Amino acid sequence: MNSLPLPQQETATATLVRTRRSRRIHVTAHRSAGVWLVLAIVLACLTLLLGLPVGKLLLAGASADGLAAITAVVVGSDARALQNSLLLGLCVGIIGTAVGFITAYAQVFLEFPGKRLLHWLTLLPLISPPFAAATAIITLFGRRGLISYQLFGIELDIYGLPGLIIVIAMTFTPLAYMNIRGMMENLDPSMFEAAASLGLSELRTLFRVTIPMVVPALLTSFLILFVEALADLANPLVIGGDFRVLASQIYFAIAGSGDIAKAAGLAVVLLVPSLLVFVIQKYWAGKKSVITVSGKPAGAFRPIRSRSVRMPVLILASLWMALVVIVFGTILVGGFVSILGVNNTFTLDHYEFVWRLGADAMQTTLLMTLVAAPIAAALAVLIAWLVVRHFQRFGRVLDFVGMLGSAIPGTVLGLGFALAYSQPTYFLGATVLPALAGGLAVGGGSAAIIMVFIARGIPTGQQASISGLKQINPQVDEAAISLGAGQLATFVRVSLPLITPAIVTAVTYAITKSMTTITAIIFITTPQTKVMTSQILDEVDAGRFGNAFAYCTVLIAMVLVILTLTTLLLRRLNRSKRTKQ
Amino acid sequence: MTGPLNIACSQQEDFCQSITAAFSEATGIDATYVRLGSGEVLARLETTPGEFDIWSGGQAENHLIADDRGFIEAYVSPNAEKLPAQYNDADGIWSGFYTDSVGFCSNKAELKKLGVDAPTSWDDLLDPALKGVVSMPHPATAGVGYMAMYTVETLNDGDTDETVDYFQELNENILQYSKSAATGTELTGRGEAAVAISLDSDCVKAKEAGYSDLVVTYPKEGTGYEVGAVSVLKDARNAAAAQAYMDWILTVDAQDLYADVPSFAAPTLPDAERGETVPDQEKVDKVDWDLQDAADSRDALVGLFESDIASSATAQ
Repeated sequence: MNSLPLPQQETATATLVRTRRSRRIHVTAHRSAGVWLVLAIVLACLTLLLGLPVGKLLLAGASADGLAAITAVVVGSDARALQNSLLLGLCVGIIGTAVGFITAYAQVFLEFPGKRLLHWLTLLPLISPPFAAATAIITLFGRRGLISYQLFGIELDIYGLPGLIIVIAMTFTPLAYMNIRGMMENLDPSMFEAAASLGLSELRTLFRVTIPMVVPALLTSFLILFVEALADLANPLVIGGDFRVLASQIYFAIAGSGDIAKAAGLAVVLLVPSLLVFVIQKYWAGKKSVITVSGKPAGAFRPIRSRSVRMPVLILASLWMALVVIVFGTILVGGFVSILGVNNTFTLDHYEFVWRLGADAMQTTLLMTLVAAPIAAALAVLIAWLVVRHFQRFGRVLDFVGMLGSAIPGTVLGLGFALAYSQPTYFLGATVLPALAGGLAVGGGSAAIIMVFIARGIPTGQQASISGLKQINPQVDEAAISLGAGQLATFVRVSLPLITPAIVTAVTYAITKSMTTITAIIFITTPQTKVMTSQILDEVDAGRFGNAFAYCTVLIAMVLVILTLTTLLLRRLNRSKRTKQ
Repeated sequence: MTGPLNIACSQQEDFCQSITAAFSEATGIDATYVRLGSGEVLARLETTPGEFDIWSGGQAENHLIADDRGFIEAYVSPNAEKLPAQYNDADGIWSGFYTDSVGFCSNKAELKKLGVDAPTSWDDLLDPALKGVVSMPHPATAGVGYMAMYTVETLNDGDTDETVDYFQELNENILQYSKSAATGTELTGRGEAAVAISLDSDCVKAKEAGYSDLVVTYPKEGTGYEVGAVSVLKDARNAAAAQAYMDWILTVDAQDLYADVPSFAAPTLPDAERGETVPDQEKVDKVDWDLQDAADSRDALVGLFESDIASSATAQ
């Protein structure tokens, strides 16, 4: 079915010689019914996932107590917490993005033994609950740490900013890696051949060509890490020392005093820098985005041989690998000994404990993840498609709203859900939804938890999909459309296969985020619906690191199995799609 | 009756699990729990009233706060009369089913390195030799943190300024304010901290778990203690089952179970069995503990802790 009138096709060819801007306007000028339908579905979902909870929170934040809390944080007694949060976000963003760049660069441009190992080790921190690394780091590098004290006899003070930077940067570096690697792989190899034939050294190519080309991915990574660091709660609680951050202040306000208004006020403050960074990224990185692909990159990269590039990259990558290995080695070993570093006798007690108390939670968590992840990934990709291809102006708003899922600190998002969905939802006097959160709700409160999983799972997939789609020249779409394919069909059959890395990112991140999220669901776990991470936090809290390590190991194993199956499935789907064409 | 009995359980996870299972076995009533700190329960009662039928555990003063906010249904169990007077609320709001005290949980090896003895006075904690090695739970989230504050307040005859001064000075020695009390005993067991302000029961529990260097001492001026309370929540969907739970937890049969769980808090029934290693609460020197005043002062003291104490170190 050809929905495009004939003259349109002529202009389509004509626009090829015009500027990029006018070409985009052309693509967006004609939206099929399918596009509007997708928009309606996405908007409905976002309203439920974020609109209502955030709305309720803003109302609470605008109360007198909420406004008083905002004043105290901005100019009053709590100002230090805000400054600390920003400093932490900045450090984590820079360090995490740097490590992500190095590992991605090694992966894409270098040949060396252990390349696959680097890949898997880099991804490993992503699939562990956030506080696992913190407990391991204390065991290893604390004042009586296995490495710092028992091996080298030095007393390190890792509590506070240094520990937080290491732990949070480590936890979220995989996101930077995936983002940057995705973009690097989409670069056109002919550029590097051109650079080489012009006599540019490999070192200079790195700084003159490679880095400038991946600036959007670097900025996206920085943004994600910055926001994650601001929102992180579990690590400041475990290893924060006297370094007070906004997230922990919010937690103490809610969990300690039940002071929802103050927490909501603090959350509003936390939202501002997150949104600010996001705006900067949109306006600056958006302009720098370069279209480099006219389909799939042709050919492969020639491995970099220059020692001045290889040596620093490989040394830094090795250091990173070593850190990951010892941290996760600690988690693995820690589950099998009585108290690691204090009493190193082998025991299965921790696993017995986990089995006895955690079997229920494992099953429930798994089930909820399997429901949430595909929905989150689908929403992420659809939002990206609407944003990049169809609604340039309104898309910014859409992009904003989608990102809120991770820009809002978890505790507060969870609280928003508790506020919004503990009672049935009414609209114009009619009940539109039953209660979704809390023990009184349908499904024992699991609906709300799944919704939080989805909300938290969307943003990274959305960012990755947007980066991916931006890499594809709109001419590819136009070609398909002018050949008679509908806009939805074009998306499914042309764009989707080209952004497979982004979809894998979306699905894997949604899975891992669901399995490992904790702070966002603390306020909506119910007797009927037990979640693994909240039980692990209880163990860390109670100081039973051994149980926590065992629990983490089981969780990591579960995530690994699901991820392997998902990746295999997606690859298979992608292959069959390609062969069909 | 709709579904099982829903328990908000403010004790350690393994205790909650064992006790809930034992209750179901003893009474045939289906029951399920969520482990939540006292502060978290108060917040949940606010956001999702009606979700829980009974609140099991946590200091009695927190149950009084919940009652002030209208969340508790008075119920006097027929078994409550066997309890010593201090373990029952006069108005039937709560009954106490375990008790323990604030103590100093020290790591002997660490103290030796620092050249100090285990603290036996609140002032001992201010020793400059302990700079940065004392762990204290955050009063907002952990009951013990607040108990420590209220104890010092009581020792100062209710002089809040002196209380704030004390904790500001103590702040110099604090490693971090942990979310829950047990975190401090763990850190100390590991040697990350040298002394934790903690529950004596938590300290013994950590010691039994393998941190053999730990030792509990008490301040000679007197210390605070908690009555772990149980109360029936308002508008419980399973009110009858909630009452049955309260009746059951106040029996000797139920309290005898603590020794096996093991819980290192002491049972409140004089006839119940106390585990060998459980601190004998009869021998602890305690301050006069005014529950109602402790409940009424909480918001103000926790507020001061946030504004004047915890922030003072970073404000330097």
